[in-house]
Amino acid sequence: MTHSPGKNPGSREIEAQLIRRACEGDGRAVRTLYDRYAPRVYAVVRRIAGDDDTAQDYAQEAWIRAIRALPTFRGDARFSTWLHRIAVNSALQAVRKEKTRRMREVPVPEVVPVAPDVGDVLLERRLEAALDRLPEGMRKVLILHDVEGYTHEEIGTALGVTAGTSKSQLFKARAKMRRMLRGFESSAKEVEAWSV
Amino acid sequence: MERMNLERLARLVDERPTPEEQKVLDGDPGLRRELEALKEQSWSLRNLPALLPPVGGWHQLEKELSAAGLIHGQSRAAVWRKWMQVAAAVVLFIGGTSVGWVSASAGEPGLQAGGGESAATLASFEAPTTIDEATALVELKDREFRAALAEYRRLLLAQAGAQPGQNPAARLPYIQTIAAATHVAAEAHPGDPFINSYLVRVMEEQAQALRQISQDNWN
Repeated sequence: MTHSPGKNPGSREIEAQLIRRACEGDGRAVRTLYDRYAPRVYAVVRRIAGDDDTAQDYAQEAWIRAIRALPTFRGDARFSTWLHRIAVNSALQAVRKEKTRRMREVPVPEVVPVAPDVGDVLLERRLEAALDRLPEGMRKVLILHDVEGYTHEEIGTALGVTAGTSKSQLFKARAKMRRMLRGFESSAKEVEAWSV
Repeated sequence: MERMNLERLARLVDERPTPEEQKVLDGDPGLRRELEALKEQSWSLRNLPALLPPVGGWHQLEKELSAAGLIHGQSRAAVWRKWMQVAAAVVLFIGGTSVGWVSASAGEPGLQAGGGESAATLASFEAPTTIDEATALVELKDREFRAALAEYRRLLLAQAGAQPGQNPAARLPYIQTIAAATHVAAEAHPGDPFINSYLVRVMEEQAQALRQISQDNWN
C-alpha cells in the first residue's frame, strides 16, 4: 500500500517534532497526533471489528501499541502509513484472540436491511452494513484489499495465508457484497416505482 | 463456456478477461452490467470516508496512557477543562459580586456574598444611583470580564501550543467539547428548536473538521 508524500514539506517537520515530543511522553503532542489520525485509525479497526463496541476497544489497543512503539518509528515511511499498519495488525490480532476465545456464528442475511434513501450517505451506510455482515475471513480480505489498498502479498503476510487464498476470498467477498447490495437495489427500485 | 458466475466476474474487476471470457461478456449485456456494478462497488469501497471515533475516546485513552506511564503533562483538552473551570469560577465571582452589590444597595447584610474580594472590588465602584447607571456599570464590567477572559484563554492556549482557528486538529477538541455539551442540552430539551439547530451546526462543523484532518494528514 502506498501513500502520497505530504503536500506541505513543512508539515512533515512539524509532525516529526510532534512525534519526538510524543516519544518523550508529552500528552499534548500525543493528543494532537490522536486528533489528526483517530478517524482513519477508527475507520479501519471498526471495519475489521464489525461492530462499534469491539471497535472502540481495538482502537484503544491500537493507539496504546502505537504510542508504546513510537521510539521505534524511524521516519522511513510516513507516520500515517506506520500507524495504519499498527492499527491493522493490532485489530487483526485482537480478532484472532477473540476468535479463539469464543466462536461466534452470525447468520448472514442475503439482503442488507437498510431503509431506502437517497445520496452518497446512504450508499456508504449500505456498504458499511454489508461489510459488517460478511463472514470474518472475507471481510478482512475485502477491507484490506478494496478499502485499504493492500496487495494480496501484503494481505497474505498480515493474515498468514497465501496470496492465492487472499484472491479467492476477495472474489467471494465481492460476489457476496454484490448479492447483498443487489437485493437492496431491487427493493429501492420498487420504492421508486411506487412513488412515481 | 457456461455463463460466468459472480465470483468469476469479481476477478475481472482488476484482472483482464481471457479471450474466451471476453467473448462471453461481449455477447451478454447483463453480465457486462454486473461487471460494471462490481467495479463501482470496489470503487465505492475504496472511497469510503473515515469514521468518527466515539466521543470521549481520547479521555479514556489518556487515562490508559497515563496509567501505563506513556504520557505526562496536560493535553489541550485538559487545558480546556481547566480554562472552563476558571471561567466558571470567574462567573461565580462576578455573580457573587453583583449579588453582594445589590444586597448592599438594599441595606441588607449581603455584602459578604462575594467574599472579601467582593468588598474590595465594590469599594472601587462608583455607586450608581439610577437603573440606567446600574445597567451601564453592569455592561462595563461585562466587557471587562469578556476581555479578561479572552486574554486568559489566549495566554493559556499559547502555553499549550495550540492556535484554534489555524488548523482543524487544533480546533477539533474544542468543537468536540461544544458538541458533547450540546448533546446533553438536546437530550434535556429535545423539542427546543434553537438547541437542535445549534446541535446540527456543531455536528456539521465537527464532521468537516474531521474530514479536513483526514484529507490533510493521511493521503
